[in-house]
Amino acid sequence: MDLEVEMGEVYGLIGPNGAGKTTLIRMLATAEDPTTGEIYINGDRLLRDQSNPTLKRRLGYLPDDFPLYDDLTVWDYLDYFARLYQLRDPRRTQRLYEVQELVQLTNKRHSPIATLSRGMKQRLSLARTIIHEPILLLLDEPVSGLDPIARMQFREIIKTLQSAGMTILISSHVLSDLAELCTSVGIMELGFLVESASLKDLYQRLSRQQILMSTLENTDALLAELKNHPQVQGWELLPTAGQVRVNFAGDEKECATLLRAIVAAGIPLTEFHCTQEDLETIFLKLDHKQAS
Amino acid sequence: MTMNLINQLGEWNPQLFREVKGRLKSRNGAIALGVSVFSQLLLVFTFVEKLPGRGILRNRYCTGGMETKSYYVSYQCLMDTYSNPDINWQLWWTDIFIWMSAIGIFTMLIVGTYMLISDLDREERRGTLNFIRLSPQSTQSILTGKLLGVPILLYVATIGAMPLHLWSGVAAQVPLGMIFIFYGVTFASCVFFYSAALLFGLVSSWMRGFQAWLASGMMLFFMTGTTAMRILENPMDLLNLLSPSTLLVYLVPDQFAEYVRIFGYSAETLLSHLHDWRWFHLPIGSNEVTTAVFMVLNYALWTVWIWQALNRHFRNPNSTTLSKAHSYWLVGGLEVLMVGFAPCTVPLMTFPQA
Repeated sequence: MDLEVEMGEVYGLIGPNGAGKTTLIRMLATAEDPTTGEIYINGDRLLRDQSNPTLKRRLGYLPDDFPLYDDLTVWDYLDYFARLYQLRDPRRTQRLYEVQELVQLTNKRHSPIATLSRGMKQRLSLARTIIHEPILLLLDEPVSGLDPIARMQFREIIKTLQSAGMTILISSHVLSDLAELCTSVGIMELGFLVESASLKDLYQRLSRQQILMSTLENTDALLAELKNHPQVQGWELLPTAGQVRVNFAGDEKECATLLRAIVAAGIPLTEFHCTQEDLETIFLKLDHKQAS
Repeated sequence: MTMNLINQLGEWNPQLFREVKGRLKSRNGAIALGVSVFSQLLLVFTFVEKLPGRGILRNRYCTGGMETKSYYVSYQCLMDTYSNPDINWQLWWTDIFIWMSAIGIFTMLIVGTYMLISDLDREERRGTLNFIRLSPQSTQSILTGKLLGVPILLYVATIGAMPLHLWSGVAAQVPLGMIFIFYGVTFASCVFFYSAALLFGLVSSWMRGFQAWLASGMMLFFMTGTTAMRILENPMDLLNLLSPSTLLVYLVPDQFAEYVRIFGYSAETLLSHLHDWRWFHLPIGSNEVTTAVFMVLNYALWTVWIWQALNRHFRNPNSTTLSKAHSYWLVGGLEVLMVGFAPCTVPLMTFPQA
């Protein structure tokens, strides 16, 4: 694979289970050696030996199972990792308060980790990952198993980190989250990176614009009118009576022209809703579903 | 003040800070100290029970003429005017000293080994060891923290037992210097065996939890075997050199010899072989200082080798434990060491004349 991630980007990695996402992230975190190939971060070669400690100090890795020490309190756990990453007081204490506030665990700082909920543990793990202010954050399935509220909280934290200038590589099966967070995505299959592009480019290339229309009458008149517009590339009659999904190739202006024409034709339109195929549809359409 | 001390420790070694914070809670510390004190009381009361009472004719702790019986020597009891037997308190304290020393060595090495390997296994299985590996801390710093921190409750219990051990040694008229030499050798043996335990823990993660039991079982077997083994004047003596119980013979030669008589040799045999112990003509067994120095040097040599392997294997578990060059040096060194224990004189053979 040939993967390049720009500084400050949030790069989403998607693909079926077993495609090699976790292995790639582990190699980027120096938790595993690549059998072949080279990894460069910030222009420096990344090796698993004791070389480049400064570079390794700037990496943050959160694995999908986020292991923790149940015998420590939230504060002691973060304090331990801050010390491992050679943070000295008073900066250490200041940083501990900062990350606890960011992950909303300030009021739990004296609680034993064993008593935290799954969402809290996940946020604590993220706090541990960013305690040393890494430049590259590697997140492997960070929201798996979280409830919708915990997922939303997690997304907000990621957005805050992105605005702070961190480069984030995130793998997830929750594609709606990636669509909200990422600037670029890569699709992996059989251990290969089969697609890597900015989200905007991906939508432009692969996402069709669709218009959902509903009429009070029979759809024949509506379909007859649609035939007069070259931007309409096809349609699909939906099970609900009078509802049609139209594949539309035009821009917003042409969309407004179409609406005006339908209304002028006297068709009793009750719904006219422009949508775009989401990331999940694009992924399924690409059919990269093979595990390695 | 304790918090401040732990904080200072954390500045020096974050791993030690984590282990102490996780384990040395006041309740756990009190339990460790309580178990230590309770065990000492149990031992002392066991020996109080063995003291002769009124009207007893012979007992190990009487001061009259010697009567050998079973594995223990017993003496005729001399009574005062109130029929109370005269007691040999020095021997009584010597017995307590020997038992405490033996229990101490066994507990430190067996339990400590178990704790370290089991902790590494837990960290490896949970996945937390990877985070530590990825941190910018050196291998030495992390593993020294583990070595000092994981058995911290065992250290607390041991420190709790030291006053009685010292007291019993002094009351048994064992020179204080000898006792501290014994402590020094025991300390060196702990560094060696604990380092070996860390290495074993790292290379045996595939055993899925069994490795801690296996290693501590092997340790028990080794300690029992070497405590019972006399100096053989052959390469097997390397095992004696690795066992701190070898030094115990010097501390209380007569009494220790009495204990090992059950293995079939007399006190004289045990001591004469020990005093004749040589390595390439160097009289390493001539006195306690030469033996202790040689033992500590031996521990140091093997500890350095183990740390070579730890440094290599901890960062990259997929790598071999030693490099090819190191393995050649290791085998060469081991052979030199073992050849040094081979008999210095070759028995002459006579051939029938033609």
